[in-house]
Amino acid sequence: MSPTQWDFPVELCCRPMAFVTLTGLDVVYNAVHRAVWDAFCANRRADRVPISFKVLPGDHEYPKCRPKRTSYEWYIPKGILKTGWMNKHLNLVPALVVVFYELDWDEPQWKEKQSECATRVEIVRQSLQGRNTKVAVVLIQKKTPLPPGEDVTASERAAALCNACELSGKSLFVLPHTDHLVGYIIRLENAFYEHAQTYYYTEIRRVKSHKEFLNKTTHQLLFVRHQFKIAFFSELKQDTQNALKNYRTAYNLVHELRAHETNILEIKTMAGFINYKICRLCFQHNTPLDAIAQFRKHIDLCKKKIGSAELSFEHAAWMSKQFQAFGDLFDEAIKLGLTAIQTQNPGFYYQQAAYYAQERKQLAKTLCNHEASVMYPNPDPLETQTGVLDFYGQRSWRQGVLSFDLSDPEKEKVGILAIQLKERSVVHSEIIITLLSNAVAQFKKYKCPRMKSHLMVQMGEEYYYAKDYTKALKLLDYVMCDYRSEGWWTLLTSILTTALKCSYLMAQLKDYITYSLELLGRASTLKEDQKSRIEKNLINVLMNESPDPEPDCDILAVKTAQKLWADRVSLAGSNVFTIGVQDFVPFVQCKAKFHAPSFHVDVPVRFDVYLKADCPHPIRFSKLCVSFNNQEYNQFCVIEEATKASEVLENLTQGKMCLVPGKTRKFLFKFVAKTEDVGKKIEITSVDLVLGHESGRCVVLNWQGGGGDAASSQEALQASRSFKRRPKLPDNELHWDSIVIQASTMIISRVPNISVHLRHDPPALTNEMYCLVVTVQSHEKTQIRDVKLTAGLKPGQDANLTQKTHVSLHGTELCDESYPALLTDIPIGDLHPGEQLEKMLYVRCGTVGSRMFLVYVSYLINTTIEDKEIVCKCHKDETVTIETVFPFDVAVKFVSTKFEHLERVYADIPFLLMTDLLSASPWALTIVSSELQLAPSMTPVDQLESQVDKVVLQTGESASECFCLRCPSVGNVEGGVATGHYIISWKRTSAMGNVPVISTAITLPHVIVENIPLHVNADLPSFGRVRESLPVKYHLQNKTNLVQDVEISVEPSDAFMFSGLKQIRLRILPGTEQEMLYNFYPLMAGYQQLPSLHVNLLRFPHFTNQLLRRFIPTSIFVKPQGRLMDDASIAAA
Amino acid sequence: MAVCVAVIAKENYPLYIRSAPTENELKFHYMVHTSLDVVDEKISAMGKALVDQRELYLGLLYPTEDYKVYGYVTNSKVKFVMVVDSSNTALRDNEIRSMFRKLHNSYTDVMCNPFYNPGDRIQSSGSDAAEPGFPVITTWIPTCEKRMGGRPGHGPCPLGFPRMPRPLTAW
Repeated sequence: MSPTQWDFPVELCCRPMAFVTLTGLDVVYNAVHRAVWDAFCANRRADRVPISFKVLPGDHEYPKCRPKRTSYEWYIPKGILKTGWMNKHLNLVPALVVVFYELDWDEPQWKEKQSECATRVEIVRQSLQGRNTKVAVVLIQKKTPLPPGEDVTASERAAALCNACELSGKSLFVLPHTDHLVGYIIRLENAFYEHAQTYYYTEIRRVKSHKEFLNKTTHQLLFVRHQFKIAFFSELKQDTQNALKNYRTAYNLVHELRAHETNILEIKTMAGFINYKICRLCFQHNTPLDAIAQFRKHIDLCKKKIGSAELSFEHAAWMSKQFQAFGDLFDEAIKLGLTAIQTQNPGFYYQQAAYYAQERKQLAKTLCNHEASVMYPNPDPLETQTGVLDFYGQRSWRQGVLSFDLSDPEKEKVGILAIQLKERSVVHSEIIITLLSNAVAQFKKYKCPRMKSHLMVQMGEEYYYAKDYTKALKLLDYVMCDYRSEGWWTLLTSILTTALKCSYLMAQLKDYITYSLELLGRASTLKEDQKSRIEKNLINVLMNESPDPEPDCDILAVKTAQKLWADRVSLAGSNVFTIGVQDFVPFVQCKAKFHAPSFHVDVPVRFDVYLKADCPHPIRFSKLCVSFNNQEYNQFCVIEEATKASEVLENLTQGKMCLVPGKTRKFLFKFVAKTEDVGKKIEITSVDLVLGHESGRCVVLNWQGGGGDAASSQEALQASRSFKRRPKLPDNELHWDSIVIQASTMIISRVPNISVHLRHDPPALTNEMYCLVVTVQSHEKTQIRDVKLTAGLKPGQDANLTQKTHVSLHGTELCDESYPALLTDIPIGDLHPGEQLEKMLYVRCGTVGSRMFLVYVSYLINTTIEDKEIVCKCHKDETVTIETVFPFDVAVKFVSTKFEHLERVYADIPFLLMTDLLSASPWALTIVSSELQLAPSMTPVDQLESQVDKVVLQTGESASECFCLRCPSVGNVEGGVATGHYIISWKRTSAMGNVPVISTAITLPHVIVENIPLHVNADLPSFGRVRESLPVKYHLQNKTNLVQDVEISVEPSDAFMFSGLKQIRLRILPGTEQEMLYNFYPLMAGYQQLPSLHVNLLRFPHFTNQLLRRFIPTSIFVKPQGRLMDDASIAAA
Repeated sequence: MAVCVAVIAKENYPLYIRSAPTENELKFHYMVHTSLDVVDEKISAMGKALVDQRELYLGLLYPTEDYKVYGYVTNSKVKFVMVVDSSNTALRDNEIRSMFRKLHNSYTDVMCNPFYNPGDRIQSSGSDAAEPGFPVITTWIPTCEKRMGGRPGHGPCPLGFPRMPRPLTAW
């Protein structure tokens, strides 16, 4: 945008820098001069001194200095600040003029050169007559200078040159044109900067010196002017602290001026300038709060200084500019590192600037609504001779007039008229939108989403006023959802109303319809009459006609729009508009609800679609259809208006196809689910409601899922919280809030009508072929087909069970590892109604524990629903838990031949292995046979034939066997010697003959074998008889490789007399045997203690009689004296 | 006196909003709505401070040229926003606090009303035209008006009670 009247002048906004002119440089043709100049201007970064350089010819004419005033007594100022003043001191009047001159100290023609240089300086001085501007000379030299004091010629000639040019030594510089040019230049410019500062210092002193001549009555303006000048010079001097101080004083002085309608603009303009400077310096000093405070003060002071009412828009423009400028300053400070916060950021200032710009627009609209016949005044009162004003903020037609009285009211009128007419050509909307978008950018940065939305609404509205409807709609549409999602319906309605206007004026059909739908809806806060009007328009649009214009629209725009609408009508095609409602709140609400969360496949699926209209008048629809995840059902769920041809019928359906405001309408749908969908979910993916006709225009309202729009979730939540009793409604009517959407249902298989019974005798015994009899009986009315049985271990149990459980249909053979744990789909065939079928299953469980078994029977049956024949697959399953137990417990023990318990056996000495088989089964067991499989180390003493063949064991009964074994000496074996296996073949007694016998092998325990030095066994009869000789032979076997000394003694017993060696000592050779013969003569009958044999081995002191007693009998039964003879004699007698 | 008083639900939709100059209602609605930016920020800055130590009064939310907007948040995250004319210098922080406290009491009364469903828009019986009795919301048994749609309807009570022209605190 080109700068307007209200923009601050460039010279005010820039950072003032000391102005230094360089003369005598030929930057075009002289390479050396060019290099010098480049070194001055290139890379002027922050570390270089703040000087603005300019190359001027040596004879440049500087602005003339006005003659000094000797007295202020008669002087009356005509304004506060001349428009050219700042620029003059920034760009025209230098603080220092530098004369560059090429001259080496050893210049042969020194005299001539010296005087030429002096002439050049003189010319510059001439042109600066009356000013305090400093002059300096820089000698460009080809040679590197010697250190000071060494070059005598140089110092002499320098002094001479200074003299000739009337320069102080400090103003003469040497610039050797060597390698280190930039370094020299930086030193030079630092020296220049010092000179410049001195210059500005004297300027400040000069201005201050005027002060004492001023008086408060006539020179009020001068107070401000001088203060401003001092501050400005301070800024040039880079003394920002003093500048700020002086600007503050100046600011206070401005407000002390007598304000009147005629000079208020000037005061405000100057106040604005000074305020700008103060704020700028405060930000520069990193005191943003001071800046804000100053600005607030400024605004508070100036807010009410409106000035001429006819030009009040000027005040608004000025205010707007103040805020904008402050926003810019603030933003700039942020860019330089200041941190702003959410509640204090430049956005607020841009926003306020935009408000004032809006106010300006409003004021301009009312003040500048002149008739078209009013001509712009001629001559133009706003023209001045020079094209610019002399003083800031004055009226061009009365410049320099200080009187508060209007000397020429006519002229004033014309002037005002000119300003008003000029204002008409200002594009306010553009200004407002720019400011708003600045503010939007700021608020976005400082986490103010709502503020941003609000400003975007305003931007949209401004675009609407500016007739840029496309942009307006884009912005409004963008923010609408924010207000909708937060439920600010008043605001949403207001935005929608504007959006509707935009879409009407552009004849955007789809947008127009969408906004109408929402404005008629329950989220809209419009009054009934408005809604009624919108509904009428919507119906018109749907009937392919033009709607009535929206109220308060621009008349011209309406005319254009009407043409557009007319064109739209004639256009064919693209007349179906599908509008997804999930993102807004349309006036028709929809809820779909399946009657149940699941349906059997042989029952029709039923669901209701509830519709409710919130618009003021009843509305008709032409079609209602529902879509599912399985699209095949879509065709069954359509309600459509009867075709035009059958007008009579239409009347019948009319009531049905019409939505009455506030009333909940229910539409029942039903369809038959496909058998393939058994076990699947049927979901309503969308509900479509068609308003209007496809022949004209139609709108398809599309609800995703089972209905619901942007506002319904919150409503549902509220309804669920509510405990309000709902008033009773007539039958068939429902409260909308009480309807809960149910958008999906499961299809489950038909209820089976068969019975499945299991017959078996639990518990199962380990490893047996356990019989499970499955009885299936059909109770169906018709034949069932394809009956299949799946039976076995129920999946999902412990994996080990699967490996230890095997199922077979054949009980005659044992199943092994290869059999599965679950038999699937065993075809059984067909069953007639009432027919019963039995199937036997055999299960072999390898481990004990409980198992779940599954018996699953499936079949097909033909049924008819809704005149449709379908094949239903039904199934019934039964599960049963079966415990598996051991059939029997086997206990094994080792005993001596005397049936005494043995901890260990003795090598080569026979012992007994006793097995004890205790039935644990609740059912009788038949032991088919048993077998002892001996380990190689064991040898049987006699035949190992089974002693329990064909024995039947009832619960708790046991069967024992006894085997005599001998174990040869094996040396010392860790853990004992393996004995072998005991294999029992058994079956249930109740099992049929063809059921295989189960062999259970039991590993016999290991036994520890020990060697003994001497084995004694006795040969004696099984009984004795009183007074009959009883011969007893003891065999003593030496089991060692040594010769054994044995002491033997026999202790007498009361019951016996005996003959034989009573005490003897003898030797037994290794491996040999010694026999000892005794004749016992029993004296008493009964169970009598034998005379005990004592053996003492001299080499084996541990060999005790206890050990011995295991082998030899200690007692014997003695029968009484023979009456046999007597019996015989009696018999004989 | 405040020029606008608003009660905002936890979910940030307005439960009650009333402004004194009724002609420019929309402006105040926007003002209250935008102030929620600051309220949100202040609440999140407050963090999980102990409930009883938390200051409910949020202070000045943001100043505009003509108005000052103050905020207050209850422990259940219901927000009160009050807009005050900038030129009204009589209202100091203390006065604002006490106005908020009164408003909070009124709100508590509304919540105590067994016929009020928390989350529903609050209807004030204070007649619109008369002196806007800020910041007091006196609520009667809510009517069975549409849950949405702005203008308060003064329909008959669903239970057949007459509308009770006295605040619930009097019960």
